[in-house]
Amino acid sequence: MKNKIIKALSIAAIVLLGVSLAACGKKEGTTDNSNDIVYVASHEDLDFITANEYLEAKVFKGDYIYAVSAVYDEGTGKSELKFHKYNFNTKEDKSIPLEVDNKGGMNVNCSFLAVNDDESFSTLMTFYNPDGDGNANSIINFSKDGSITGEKELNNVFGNNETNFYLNTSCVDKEGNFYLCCDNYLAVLNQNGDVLFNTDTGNWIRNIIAGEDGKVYITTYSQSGNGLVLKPFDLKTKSFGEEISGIGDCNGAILGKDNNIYLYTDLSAFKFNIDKKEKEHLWDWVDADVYETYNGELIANEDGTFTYLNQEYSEEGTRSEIIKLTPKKKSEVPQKTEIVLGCQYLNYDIKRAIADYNRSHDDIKVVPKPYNDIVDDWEEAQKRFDMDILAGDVFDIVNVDIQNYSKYAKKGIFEDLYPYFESSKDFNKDDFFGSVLSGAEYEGKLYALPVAVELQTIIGKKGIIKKNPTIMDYIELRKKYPDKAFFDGAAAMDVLNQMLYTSFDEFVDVENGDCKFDTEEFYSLLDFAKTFPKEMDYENFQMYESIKKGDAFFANTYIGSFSDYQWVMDMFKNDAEVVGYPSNDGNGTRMVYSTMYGISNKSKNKDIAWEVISGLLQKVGSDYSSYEFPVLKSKYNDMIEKEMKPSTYKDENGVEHETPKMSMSFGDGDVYEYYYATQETVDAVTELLNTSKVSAGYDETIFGIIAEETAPFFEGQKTKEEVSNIIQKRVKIYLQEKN
Amino acid sequence: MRFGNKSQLKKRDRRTKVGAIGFLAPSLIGVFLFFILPFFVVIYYSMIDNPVSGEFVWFENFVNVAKNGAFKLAGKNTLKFSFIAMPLAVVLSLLLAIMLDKEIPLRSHFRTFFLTPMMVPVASIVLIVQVMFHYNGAVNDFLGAFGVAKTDWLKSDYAQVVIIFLFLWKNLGYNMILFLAGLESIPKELMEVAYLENANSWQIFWNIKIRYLSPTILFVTILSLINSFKVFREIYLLTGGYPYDALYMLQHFMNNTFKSLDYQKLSTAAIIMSFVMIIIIGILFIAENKFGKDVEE
Repeated sequence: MKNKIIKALSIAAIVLLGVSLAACGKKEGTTDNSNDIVYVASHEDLDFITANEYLEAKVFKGDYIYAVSAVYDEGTGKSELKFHKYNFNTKEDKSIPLEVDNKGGMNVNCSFLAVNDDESFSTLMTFYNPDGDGNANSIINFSKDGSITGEKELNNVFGNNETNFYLNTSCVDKEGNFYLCCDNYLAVLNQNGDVLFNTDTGNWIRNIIAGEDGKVYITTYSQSGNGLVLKPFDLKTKSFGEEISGIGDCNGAILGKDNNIYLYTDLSAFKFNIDKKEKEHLWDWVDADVYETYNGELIANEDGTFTYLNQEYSEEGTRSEIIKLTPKKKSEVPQKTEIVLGCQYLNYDIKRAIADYNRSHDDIKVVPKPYNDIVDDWEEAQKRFDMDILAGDVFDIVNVDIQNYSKYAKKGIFEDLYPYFESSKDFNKDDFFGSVLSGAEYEGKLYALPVAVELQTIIGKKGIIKKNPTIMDYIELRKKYPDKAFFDGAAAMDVLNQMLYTSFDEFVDVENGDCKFDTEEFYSLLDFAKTFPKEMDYENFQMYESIKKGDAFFANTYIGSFSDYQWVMDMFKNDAEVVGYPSNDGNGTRMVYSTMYGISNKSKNKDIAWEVISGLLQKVGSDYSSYEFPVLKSKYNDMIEKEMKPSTYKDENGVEHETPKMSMSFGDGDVYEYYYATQETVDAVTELLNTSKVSAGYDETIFGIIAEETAPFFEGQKTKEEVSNIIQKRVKIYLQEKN
Repeated sequence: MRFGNKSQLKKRDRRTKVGAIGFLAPSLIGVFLFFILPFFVVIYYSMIDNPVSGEFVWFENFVNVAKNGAFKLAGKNTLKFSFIAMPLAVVLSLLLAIMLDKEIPLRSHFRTFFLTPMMVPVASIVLIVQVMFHYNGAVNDFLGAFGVAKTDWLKSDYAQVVIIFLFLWKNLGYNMILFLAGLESIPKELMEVAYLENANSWQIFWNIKIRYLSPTILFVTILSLINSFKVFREIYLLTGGYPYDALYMLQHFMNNTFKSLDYQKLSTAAIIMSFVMIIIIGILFIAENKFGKDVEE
């Protein structure tokens, strides 16, 4: 009997152990329904919205979208407002201009819209003074035909004596009351603009949402460190309820039925049930070719579908569309070949390029996996990204930066891309800037390809120093002008970094694991850097004034567009030239890659991955980015053609006028306006692109050690020999480790 | 007494063995999966050129690591630190234990006092050390009153002295408690007999106490050796991944090679270090076995 009891207890213990082990690994919080249901997107362009028109405030109501749009007039520099009523079913748009008194030349912007059942509507209009002072806000009520029926200027609506505010979020409740949020302030107004309630919630309000059942919630950051939380608000009691955590991060949110809230980020959309505190993943925006959601609006339809109003803004203008997301069984949806793109973060241009690529291909889908968006902690994101790259079979395409490129290249993780050039129909090696490809090689192979580049150099007053000077040339010049600002507002540490940036090889021998920081040359460099202020007084230092007075001779310049080069030249009244950082090889301009793309050698879709990279190359640079130069010569030439043509507008008499593409105030009334790139600029930049070398010089660890150890020297606490000795020892360990 | 014929007994035996294996299996599987298998994975990693291609290079990684300047420096510093700090930790804690074993006033308060460093969080310790030994810290201020020039203690050749001091401060208390327990376990009759036989204090100490304490001394020595490696945590928090060369330890080398995805160097260094540890501990066991043999018998 005793044995039987022991046996039974033992079996029960084993079963319990087995059950608890089976429960291991269960993910808390988000459930994934992606195994059964997927949301399929269908797109419909809103052609009634022109390219220079932007929907500022929008409301979905029944079969209609109501919106207030701003049409920007390049000639006057002002916006004209229109009210749209668009029917989903008939695709008809009725628009009426809104005649709003601009209070003597102010710009007007609509940040809030509420539509009543009789189609009269109320707006919050913000009046901006071009000079920046004296902004105002008003609630303006309109009748169905667009005539103004009431106006009330808002003063101190949030109870913080702030008249100059902008709304981060707003909504209308079932009673027709307006809920306006500015930073952490909430104000509730009736339709006449009378304040019913206002308060400081203590934390920034991300969203405020109202449901058809009369409930109102805000999403805000928890006081107790639980991240973004949901808080119910009751206007009757004028109080907030308990925090509801577990919603994660979100850009937008809407209240649905059955206590469900639909939340979305730039990557995905979720359903959160308030009662059960359960979060369910619905779809990834990449499946709908949406690359950002800050300007969009989502609604949940009665039939279980969703409608999303998407607005994309680019240099060509605004593109607006309606996306309908319909749930379907996964088995009913044609499968596409997925190309996974792994990266730390996705910049705007790459997101757009991926969305455009996916739209133009029915059988291939690029799925980005940005780790900084998936993992909260930056260091943890980097670690997981590294591990997944090393695993080899997680990504098809890997986005790397130049600092980590060699670390991955020597692991044999990437494909050599040169053979792909040979078989490519789109381009070959000669179609690229030579310096771009040679800079990206590792032991003669091309393991990753940059899609765009930027240049870094020093532009200086003509004749002040010889072209491509060395460190000693700068030091000797400083001795001649010890009291001048010299550089454009650089402090001691900045000067040291600039001098080291391109003459890194003089001090660091990576191949042999050695360095030379305990030398006379480095001592001289430290003395030179010490002649500059410890910290810059940016409030009082005016770069342009300093250059105009002849106090500053050099400007540390980042050139990602022709305008960057031109405005710096203009600061020197065109009496300047590219001098370069100090170097011993006669080349003081450095090329910087923003992103590089490699193909994993374990990818099962290498040819398709190459096709995707080629596609990105064709798009990024000239079409999207005004901050970098494309690496393909053909796209660069397109950029030249576009930039050398001035922007124009026609006035009411049909006369064409040039309009600046960019303007910059130098202070003291001086304004630089960039109309188009001159031939001189294009020639100078082209020469730099052809001759500059890639910079891998910014080693974070070495520069971090130098910054840490030189701080007491600049404070006057240690001698240059002491700090150099410590730098020498620490950097040598670092280099020997890698050797 | 067991009942039944031979075959029944055999069956029962087999069932018992199968049952035993069944119950032991989860633990054995766990030990295999989390200890034994990873060890072989490390050996595998140390013998290939990189995890992606997996090409065997046999002992080439060992040769490269042995020649690596950073590894040599780290090994030298680690051995130097361990061979200075470890004996000091053992000897000083033994002396403290002997002192606190006597009937002195406030004995229990002293015992508690020496144990308190163990309760202090690492972050607090690091903060205190920084405040004290910083270039503009308390120690330099104090020495400055006597005309002594400032020293950046953690970035000078005295850096290891500071860390040894920190190590001893943290670990003496625990070792002392272990020795106190060891002293308590020495049969009092032996010492009484020795006393009656006119043995002096030194003879009693060396011939009886030390002999009986030899297992404890071995244990404390091994524990101190292990703790001497753990001091990396404080050094890392104080000085980062690339400290002044006197503080650069084997764990720095391994931590940094892990961060730079150089798993081959990391695995090779770990295996070399484990061999050295096995040798040192083996020597200690042999010494204890010889010295404390008659005590155990």
